[in-house]
Amino acid sequence: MRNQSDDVLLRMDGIVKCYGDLVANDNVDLHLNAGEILAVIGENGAGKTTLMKILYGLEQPESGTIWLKGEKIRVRDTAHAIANGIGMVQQHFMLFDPFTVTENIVYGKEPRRGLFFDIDGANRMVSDLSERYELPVNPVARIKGMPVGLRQRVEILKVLYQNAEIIIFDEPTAVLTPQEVNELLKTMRQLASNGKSIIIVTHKLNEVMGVADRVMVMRNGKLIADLPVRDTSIEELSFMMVGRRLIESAIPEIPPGKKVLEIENLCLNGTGSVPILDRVSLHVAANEIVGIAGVSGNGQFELVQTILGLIEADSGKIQVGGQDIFNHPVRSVRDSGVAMIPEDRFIWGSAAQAMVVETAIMGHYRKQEFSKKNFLQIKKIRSFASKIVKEFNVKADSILQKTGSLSGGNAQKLIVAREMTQQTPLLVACEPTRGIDIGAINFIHDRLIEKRSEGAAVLLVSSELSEILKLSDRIYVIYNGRINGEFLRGKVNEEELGLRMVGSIKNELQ
Amino acid sequence: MNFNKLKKNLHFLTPLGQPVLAIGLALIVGAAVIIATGESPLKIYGIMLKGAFGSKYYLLTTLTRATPIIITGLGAAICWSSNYMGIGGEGQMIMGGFVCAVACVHLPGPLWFKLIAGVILALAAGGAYSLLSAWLLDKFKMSLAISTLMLNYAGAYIAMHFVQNVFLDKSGDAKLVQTQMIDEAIQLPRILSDQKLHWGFGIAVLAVAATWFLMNRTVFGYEARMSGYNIDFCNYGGISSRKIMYSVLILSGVICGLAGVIEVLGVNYRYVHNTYVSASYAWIGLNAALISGYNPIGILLTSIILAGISTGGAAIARSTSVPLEISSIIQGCITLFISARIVIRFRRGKKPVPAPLNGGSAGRIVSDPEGGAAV
Repeated sequence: MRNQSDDVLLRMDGIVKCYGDLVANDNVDLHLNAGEILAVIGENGAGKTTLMKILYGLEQPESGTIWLKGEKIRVRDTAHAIANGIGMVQQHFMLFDPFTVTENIVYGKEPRRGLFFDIDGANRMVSDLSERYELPVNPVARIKGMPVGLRQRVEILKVLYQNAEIIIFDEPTAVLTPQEVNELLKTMRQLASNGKSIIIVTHKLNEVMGVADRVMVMRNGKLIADLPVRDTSIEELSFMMVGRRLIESAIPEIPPGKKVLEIENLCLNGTGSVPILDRVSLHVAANEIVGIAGVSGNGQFELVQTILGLIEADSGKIQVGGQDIFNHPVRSVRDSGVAMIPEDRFIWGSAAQAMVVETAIMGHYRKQEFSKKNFLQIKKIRSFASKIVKEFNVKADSILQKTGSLSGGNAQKLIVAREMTQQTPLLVACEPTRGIDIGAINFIHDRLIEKRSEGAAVLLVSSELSEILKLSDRIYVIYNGRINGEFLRGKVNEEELGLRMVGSIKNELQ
Repeated sequence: MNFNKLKKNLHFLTPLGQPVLAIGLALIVGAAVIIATGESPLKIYGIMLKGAFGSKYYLLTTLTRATPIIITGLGAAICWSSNYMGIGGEGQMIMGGFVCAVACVHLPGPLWFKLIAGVILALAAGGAYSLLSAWLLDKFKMSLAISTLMLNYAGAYIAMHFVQNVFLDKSGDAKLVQTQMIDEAIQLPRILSDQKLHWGFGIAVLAVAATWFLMNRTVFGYEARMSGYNIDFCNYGGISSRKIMYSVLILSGVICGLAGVIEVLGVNYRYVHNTYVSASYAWIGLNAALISGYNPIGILLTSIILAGISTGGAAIARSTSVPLEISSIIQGCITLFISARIVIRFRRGKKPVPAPLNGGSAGRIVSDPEGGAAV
């Protein structure tokens, strides 16, 4: 067992934080013991990130006190937090791409020899650190081109290099593949057994059950419960988080209709020696949800970008409703009846500086209801935006606020709302529920099922196997740019899919 | 709670906060310089204010001066708000003015034809000159900042060459490189018969309204502004970034060409070498666009203030020992403090805005102008 003691290392008492009229933290208490893993869970906007920002000095509370090792402190800013042994692994990594692992880790606190930066000493320190905590990295490798999991490892090492005793992880698994998640959970246990105290902010309950010692549930800015993980269950936690029971909606059986999307022998060579897409053939019919399962980086995102016309493919055939859209510009692909939820909400899905209402019409603003003869129909656009914001429960003060000021989950809901409310025969949904909370995930799943019932064809790309298995009528596995297996609903389990995803071959339709 | 309510109600004023603060700080720096020359800042600023807005004559002089600044400001705002940082307003204005002046004198046909053809040719010349930079960027990935800047110089000398060797007005002062005067009948009439201010100012105000409408109420404006925010988002939404690049740059050139046309038809009645360059209209216009965050109505107001600082500066140079350059110092400081906004935001570093992948211009500043854009 880990050397978990009951000495309270950190205590936050009666924290209150308001943004305008909104009470983000309402008299919240938190304590953390040395060597403990504490999970803070809650839906989007429950106040968990705010609480962590206060602890890390990014926000100042209206009232409340913070005690660290029995001493009262006020965390003025992040530098002060770091000096007090509090470190944070951010959700959006803050690394410099062109620089090496070492340079990124020691940045801000570089070892020197005389006037100069001691690069050898720094590399040595980083390899020592990486050995001690069993977090293998190559100190001289550059960040550019590294997979997300490795980048996160660099972030963790950076926090360790700063001598953090308390490490805060903010939604650490939101961007990771299932394999990377397992690695990370192992790392957390490792760190805790080395005496570090860990706070993990998340809304993924199976991770909480897998790694945490204790869990704090927040809802609407208030602390709802604080209890040991062994005394609770996923069902109980999700009830406390959402405040109601979630009903798993049954998926009605509908036979698939006419083929809507047809792809034949699609090839995309790319610049490397291995093609990115290699003779991909697939189809999606009306009244059908087709899932694409695959480990991130096996060509699934290139596939959907090729469908939408963002990337030019080398050869093949793509048709939507019998109409050729192979290598057509995005606009004509969208006009032929395609909507798409992109895999990254802030790169492709929205512009941080655009207003919510402006984000809400992207890709569809040329439609009759939004513009006439190149003039925008402002009233109709605004009432449409207000409608979808309400319908999809996007937490926004006003449709005129900047999209970037929404939380990640709310921005995602806005994008999903935009692409789903358009009556297109084909919806391509990439990671539609990445980084959002259970309540919202269920809501979006229900809407996808509804869309299918209404006769749309849905192509679902997701790294969440459970999502693929729950929603898909048919599943394709993609590996190394090739389709490696096709399965009907209920004819495959998670293990089989997992094997196919890493290349095991056994090609017959089950 | 009351305070919060008040804050909410005054929310629409926030875009004004930054320019007002910047102008205030710049006036403080200016005051320090004035003290250094041994004068009292209050007295000098008093003279300046009077010299800019203090009488009907001064006010109308300021508005006359503001006219080309407003129009070039709008031209700059259109391409900058799409993140194409063209600084070729001066060259485009020269092209417009030069072509207009020559066409209105030398084209055959009746006067009305000379005027209409002259204006159309001039606007086309401004647009074509900007198109050249757009094409260089598209075909050869040439930095927009460099090509537009260099073409300013090229434009001034091309016009000078043709005026000197082909279209020189030999009747007047031999030292002046200028074209012949256009017929009085096609000059822009004055708003008040005894004052300089001409109807070009009215055209500028109309251009402000038209630009606001274009940017905020049309599909083109939406596409152009979204391109300025996030180019990947636009590609995904089906906006052709190449088409936007060409359209905003051409339009911006046409508008700057209009500034030249109005100077010819309303002020000089001919093209005079070096007048636009020495008055720095296009540069002050660019400043106005930056200060007001590309908001057309803001550009109208800031251009008048900046023009006022110039005319007021001339007034103090006439009547005190403080040099004319004080107005340049104040203008420079305003721009400096405005650009500080970019830095402050960057330092506070909320979410790093994902940098666009394909460079549309030399360097893309991640700024966040809070323009009055309202869909």
